[in-house]
Amino acid sequence: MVAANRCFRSCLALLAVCFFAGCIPIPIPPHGFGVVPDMVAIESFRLRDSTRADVLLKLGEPRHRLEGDHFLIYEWDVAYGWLLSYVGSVPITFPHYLCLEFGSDSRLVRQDHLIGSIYGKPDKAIKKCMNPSEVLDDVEAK
Amino acid sequence: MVLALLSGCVTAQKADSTAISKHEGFVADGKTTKKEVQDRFGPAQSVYEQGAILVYYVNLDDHGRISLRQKKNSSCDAYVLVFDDHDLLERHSLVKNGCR
Repeated sequence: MVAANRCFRSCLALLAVCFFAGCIPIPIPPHGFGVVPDMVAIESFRLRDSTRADVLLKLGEPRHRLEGDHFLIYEWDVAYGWLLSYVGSVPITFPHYLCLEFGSDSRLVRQDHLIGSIYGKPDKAIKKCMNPSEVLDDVEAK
Repeated sequence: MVLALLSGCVTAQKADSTAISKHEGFVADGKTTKKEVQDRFGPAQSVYEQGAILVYYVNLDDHGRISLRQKKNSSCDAYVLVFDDHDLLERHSLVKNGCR
């Protein structure tokens, strides 16, 4: 619901920009764009049971390694549409993040799915991943 | 047109181990040592847990053959090797599109 509101607000802003820039937004069903982690594997992870090795064996390398691999973050984009203009087309994407926190015994203690703002950079998602109680404007948990 | 707009996604996914096992050569769980791996493959692209987990960047072809990745702009698969306390290979997998 939160993600839908975020998308709605961003899409309205995008429509306004498009109106003045002379481009046409084409909405499509949300789908992964680029390399997307295996969702079935993600759902198979169990807190206090799955280990860092289990995660790496199923998902491969994370995009971000933080604090001595205490946190691993996988990142991918989800496209919600395309912007068509006379010079070409670009996908309308939001970055998604899988934030995984491991304990000192290498077992998974927290798993969060975060959504950044449109074309957003990972800085705030990284901050949110490492400090889950912090409220950040540009990042929301799914 | 709809298909073209929806395309552009690949999944980072563990490859079927039965399809690649016959091409893995010396790599076998419970037998291969970390030293053997490092002697044959060289230094790993990524190391986790003080060397207990090594990740090599490789290419898996359509026939299940694995080769160390040569070109940076080619597709990249992750060969993940987990060793036990005695540096013996405990588990391993190949994750298609699993590089960083």
